[in-house]
Amino acid sequence: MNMLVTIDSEVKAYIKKIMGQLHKWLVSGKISKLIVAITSKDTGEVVERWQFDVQVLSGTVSAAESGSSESAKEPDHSKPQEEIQKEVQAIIRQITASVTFLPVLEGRCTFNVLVYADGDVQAPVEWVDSDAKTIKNAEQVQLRSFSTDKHKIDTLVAYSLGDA
Amino acid sequence: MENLEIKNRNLEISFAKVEEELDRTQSELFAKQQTIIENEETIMKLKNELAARGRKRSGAADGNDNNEEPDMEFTTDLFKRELNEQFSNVRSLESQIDAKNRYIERLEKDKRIVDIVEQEKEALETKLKLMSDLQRHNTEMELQIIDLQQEKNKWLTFLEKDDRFSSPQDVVRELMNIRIEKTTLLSKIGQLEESLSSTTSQELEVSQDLQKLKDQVTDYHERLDKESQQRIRYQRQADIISKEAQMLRDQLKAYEAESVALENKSADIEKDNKITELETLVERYKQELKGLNDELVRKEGLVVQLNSPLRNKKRAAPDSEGSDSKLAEQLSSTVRKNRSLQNDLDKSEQKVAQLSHEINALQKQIASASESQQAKHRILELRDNPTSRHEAVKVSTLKALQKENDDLHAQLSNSGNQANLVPKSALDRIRDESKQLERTIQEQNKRMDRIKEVFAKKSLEFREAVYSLLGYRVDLLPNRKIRATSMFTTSDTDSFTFIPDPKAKNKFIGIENSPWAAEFENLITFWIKERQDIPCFLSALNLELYDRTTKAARF
Repeated sequence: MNMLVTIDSEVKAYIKKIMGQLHKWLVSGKISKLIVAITSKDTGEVVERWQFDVQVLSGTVSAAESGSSESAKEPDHSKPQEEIQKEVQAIIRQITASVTFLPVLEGRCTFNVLVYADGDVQAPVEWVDSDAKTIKNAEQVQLRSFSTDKHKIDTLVAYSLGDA
Repeated sequence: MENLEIKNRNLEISFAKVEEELDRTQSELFAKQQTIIENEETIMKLKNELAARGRKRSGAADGNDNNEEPDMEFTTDLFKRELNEQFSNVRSLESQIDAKNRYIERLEKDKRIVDIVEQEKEALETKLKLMSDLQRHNTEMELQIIDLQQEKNKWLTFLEKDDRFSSPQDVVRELMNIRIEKTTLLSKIGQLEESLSSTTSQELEVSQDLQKLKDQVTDYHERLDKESQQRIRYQRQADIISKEAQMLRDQLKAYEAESVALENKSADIEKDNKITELETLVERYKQELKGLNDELVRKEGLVVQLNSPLRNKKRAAPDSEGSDSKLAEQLSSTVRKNRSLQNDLDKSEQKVAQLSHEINALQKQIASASESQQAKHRILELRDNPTSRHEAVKVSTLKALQKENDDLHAQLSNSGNQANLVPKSALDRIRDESKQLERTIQEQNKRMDRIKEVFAKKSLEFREAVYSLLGYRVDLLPNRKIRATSMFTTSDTDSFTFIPDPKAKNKFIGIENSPWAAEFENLITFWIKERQDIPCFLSALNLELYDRTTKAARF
C-alpha cells in the first residue's frame, strides 16, 4: 500500500497554517473534533468526511491552566513512545487500506478542514464559522483509535453511498 | 463598481479616439487652409491678369479684332465658375470646422464627466477599504461581545435570586459598602475588646483590693473583739478594784473606829503607816484604772473609725464575694476565650453560607454550560480553504456568464444589424477563460518538468548501474545506434558503435569500423561475425582489456 506525500506548495502552506493554529488549540484543550471533508467540485456535495474526535484527557488541561502547581504530579501511567507510534502507524495503515471499501470518488474533488472548537474559543480573523458539512444518509465506519498521555483520538469515516 | 469601471474604460478609449480624430481634422484643416490661400493667390493673379487684359483691351482700339472678345468672356466665365466652386468649397470646409469644434466641445464635456467619475471611483475605493477594516473590527468586536456575554451570564447566575441588585455595579457597590462597614466594625470590636480587657484587669485589681480590705476588716473585727473582751475584763477588774477599794475604805473606817476605840499609841504609828500604804495603793489602782479607761476610750474610737469606711467599700463592690483572685482571673480568661471562639463561630457560619451560595451558583453555571456545550460548539474553517476557493471561482464564472448572456440578449433585442459584434462582457469572459487555460497549461508544464526531472534522475541511475555491473558506459546515438565504452579503456575515443538491425527492433547486427575496432578484429570475427553474439563479445572484450590494465599486472 503506497502512501503519498504532497509536494504542492499551496497545499503545504494551507496545512501548515492549520497546524499552527491547531497546536495552540490543542494545548489549551479547546478542540473536540477535527474534520477533513472531501467535496465534489461539480456538485459541491460532501462525499467523504473523515472525523477525528479529540479528547483532551482531564488533568492536563487543569495543570496547564493552574500553572506549575499541578505539574509536579506527572501521570504515572506514561505510555512509551514506541507504543504510541505503533498505534499511529496502525491508524495510517487502516486509513490507506480503507480505499478498498470506500466508494470511488467520481469527478474532480477538493477538500476542506473543519475544526470543532469550544464556544468560548478565541479564533483569529482568518478563521470563520462554517456548517458541519455532514453527509445525508451516510454510512459510517469506526476506525482504530490511539492515545497518548494527554489525548485520545478516535477516527471515523463517513461516506455517501451515492444513489443507493 | 464594475459597471463604473467598464464605463470609465469605454469613455477613456473613446476619448483617445476622439483626440486622435481631432488631431487628424486639425491637420486636414491646416492643409485645406493652405490650399485656400493658394487658391486665393491664384485668384488674385488671375484677377490681375484680367485687369491687365481689360486695360489692354480698352487701350486697344475699338476696331480691334473681335476674335479676342469671346475668348476673354470665356476665360472670365471660367474664372467665375472656378471662383464659385472655390467659395462653395471654402464654405463647406468652414461648416465642417464648425461641426468638428462642436464635437470637440462635447468631448471636453465628456472628459470632465470622466474626471468626476474617476474621482468618485477613488472615493468609493477608499470607502470600500474603510468598510473592510470595519468588518474586521466588527468580527473582533463580536468575539469581545461573546466574552462579555459569558461574563454577564456568570453574573446573572449570581444575581438571579436577589432582585435588589440588577447589575454587577450594584453588587460591587454593596460589597464596597459592606467592606467599609466591616472594617469600621472590626476596628470598633478591637477597641471594645481592648477596653474590655482593660476593664477586666481593672476589675481583677479591684477584686484583689477588695479581698485585701476584707481580710483587713476581719482582722480588725478580731482585734475589736479582743479589745472589747479586754475592756470587759478591765471593767470587771475596775469594778473589782473599786469594790476592793470600797471594802478597804470600809475596813479603814472600821479600823479607825476601832483605833479610836482602842487608842493605842504604838499601834497608831503602825496603823498610820498601814493606812498611808493602803491609800497609796488605792491611789495607784485609781491611776491604773484611769489609764485603762483612757485606753478603752481610744480603742472604741478606733473601732468606729475602722467601721465607717469599710461599710462604704462593701457597698461599692457587693457582688464579688468569696471568689479567689486566681479563680477570677481564670474565669475572665475563659470568658475572653469563649467570646473570641463565638466570634470565630459566627465568622465561620457566615463563610459557610457564602460558600454554599457560591456552590449553588457554580452548579447552575455548570449545568447551563454543559447544556450549551453541545449547542455552543463552534465549527471553524480557514477562510482561505481549497473548497471555498473553488466555490469562489465557480461563482465568478457563473456571474461572468450571466452577464454575457444578459448583454447578448440585450443586443439581440436592440438591433439586428450589429449581429456580428459581441458585447464586451463576452470578451472579458473569454479572456478569463484563456487565463484559466494558461494556468492549466502551467500546471501541465510543471507536471511535465517534474516527470522529466524524475526520468533524468532515474535514467542516470540506470546508466550508472549498467556501468558498474556490466562494465560499459552505454550512450544512445541518433539513428538508433548505440555506443559502448568499456570501463577499462584509457581514452574516451576507444569505443564501439553498434549498428542496429533495420528489420528487427532492439537487435544489432554489427560494429562500425574504427581503428579501435580494427584492433580487436579477431574477437569481432569470432563472436559477432561467426556466432552473432554481442553480449559474449562484450564480455570477452572486457576480459581482454582487463588483462592489459595495470591492475591485472599487479596480481
